[in-house]
Amino acid sequence: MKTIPGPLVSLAGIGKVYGGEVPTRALRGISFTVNAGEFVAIVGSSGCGKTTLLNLLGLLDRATEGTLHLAGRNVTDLDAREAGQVRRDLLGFIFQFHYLLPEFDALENALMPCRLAGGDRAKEREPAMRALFARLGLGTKIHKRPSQLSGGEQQRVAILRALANDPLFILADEPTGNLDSRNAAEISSLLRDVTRETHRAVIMVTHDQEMAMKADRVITLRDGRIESDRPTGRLPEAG
Amino acid sequence: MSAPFALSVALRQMTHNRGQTLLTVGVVATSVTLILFISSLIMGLQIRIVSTVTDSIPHVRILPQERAPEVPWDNATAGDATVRVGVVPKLEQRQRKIEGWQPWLDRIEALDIPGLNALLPSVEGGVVVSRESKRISARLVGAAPEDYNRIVDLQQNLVAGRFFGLNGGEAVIGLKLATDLGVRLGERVSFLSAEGNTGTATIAGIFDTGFGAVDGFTVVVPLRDGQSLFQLGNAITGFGLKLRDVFTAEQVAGDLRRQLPFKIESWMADNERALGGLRAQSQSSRMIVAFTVISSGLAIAALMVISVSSKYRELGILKAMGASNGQVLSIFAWQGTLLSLIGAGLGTLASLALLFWLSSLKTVSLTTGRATDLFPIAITVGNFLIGNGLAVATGLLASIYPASRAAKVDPIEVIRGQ
Repeated sequence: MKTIPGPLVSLAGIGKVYGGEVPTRALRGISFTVNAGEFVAIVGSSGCGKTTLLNLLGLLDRATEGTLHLAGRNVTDLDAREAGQVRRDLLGFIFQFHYLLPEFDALENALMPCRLAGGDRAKEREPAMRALFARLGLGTKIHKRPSQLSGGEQQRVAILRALANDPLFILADEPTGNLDSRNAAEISSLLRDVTRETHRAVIMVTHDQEMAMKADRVITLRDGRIESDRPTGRLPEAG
Repeated sequence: MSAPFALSVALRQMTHNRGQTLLTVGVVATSVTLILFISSLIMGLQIRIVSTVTDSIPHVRILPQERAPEVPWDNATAGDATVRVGVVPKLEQRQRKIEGWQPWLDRIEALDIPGLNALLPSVEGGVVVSRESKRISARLVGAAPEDYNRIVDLQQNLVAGRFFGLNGGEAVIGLKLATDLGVRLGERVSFLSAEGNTGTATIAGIFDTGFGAVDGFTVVVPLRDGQSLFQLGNAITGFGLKLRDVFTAEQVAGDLRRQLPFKIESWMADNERALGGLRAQSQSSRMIVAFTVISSGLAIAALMVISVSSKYRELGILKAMGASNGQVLSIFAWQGTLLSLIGAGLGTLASLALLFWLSSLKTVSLTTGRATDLFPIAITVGNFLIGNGLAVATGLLASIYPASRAAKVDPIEVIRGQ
């Protein structure tokens, strides 16, 4: 587990304007920090800038204003190759749909970020991943293809994939959007547990208020600005 | 570092999507089979045509210079405006010949002509061959049998009698000529040359080369007998050269023209029309191969574009997880290369089986009973290397467009669900 002094994520005055004939401002003056062990939910109505913010945090897009630091490194203006390396080494992604590769079994899918990193990374991480599979009740599903898993199991494999490369923080985009309420509750508990036990940070974008209340802190966006940033009362345990 | 990841993904996708893999491999294999079949068949056909033309003749001929007649106006002075009326006087009708040819033979041998297989001093001329009441025009060649055999293989094609060790007063003739004359082994025939000289010979051998021009019109006698019939004394009418590569004939002829005071003729200059036909055939073959390669490439590209489209989301997620453009591009470059290699291998096996089967088919001549290949197939390593090289290069090139499309997948669009 990598440890970084100071906040894992730090945004200062982040803004995003999409070009075109009529420039559209998606975000303005976004500033907040996220520490290790924090589970942060970003909520807001449709079009408030949640996904844009997630894309900026995931280095999939570039801010037009402000600075972004991840793990103490200024990553505001990285080129595509450097951004890819940072995503691979520091970030884990969970999407609304699992997008597991149908040709690979569950364990191979979970270890995909390690395979991308090359070398023996996948081999090194395999025992830890097997243990996590067992812990999530997927011990017997390790060699099942995605099509042989249920929706909840597929999303759990996607969460394991986000954890595979031992990232410092995890970005989750509506991770329970495609799940029934039982599976959604399980996944949100799992994310909270992961945050606390592994001292990672999780930033989750959701429109589901109930899901957001499982986080330690909720940031509400409105028209591209932070409307509120308040704890839910579930304080993270000391790392 | 991207090869192991990209290769493993490419292999897994190929084994997972068996239908598409089989289709792509099938396209490549069919193309390779077609390319190899067409090129082997056309090359075989060309070899047959060229050998039909060149096997029964010397590739280069060294002949006495033709003497140009002198005409009165050649000596006209400048400003002489006199109109002259007259005819070009004819040269004295006499056989052109090379006297004292032995030193010339030594000199030609000393030239070290590249790829020279045989050098034959001979006499040649038109004769009328007669047997009882039958008379047929033919070409009589006087040469040492062992030397002549290196120009036209009569010994292997004898159907009766002998050729090597031919004695004075003996001749070998083609089967068709013998049949037309009604002459058999041991019987005598008479010759009448254009100059009015006569001679006779006993038939010592009958050959059947399969070349109509040779079998129907050729008589071969010892050099001495030919010289005697044409009253050449010790002279010959020319040298014949056989080359290892028939297509070097014009170049060799050009070199000899610069070095010898003789008229030099090559089979290529004499058969310009046939060569033009061969060139057109080669161009057609190349065009067929080009169109096959293009259509195969397009088919591979189309199938891989479908593959990229069906993997759009997964590729976007891989990129979101940190896969580089190079890694994503390599997945499809590997697929294109592997599919082409497998297709080329299968196509090679299929075409070999087809070509060996076709080359085993024979046709038998109704007149001579001679069995020849129904399809003139030329199986060469070069053709196979070119065919396979083209297929693999096409597969790789065809994968570039879909691979670059894959590399350009924007993870943001995937995440937005676009």
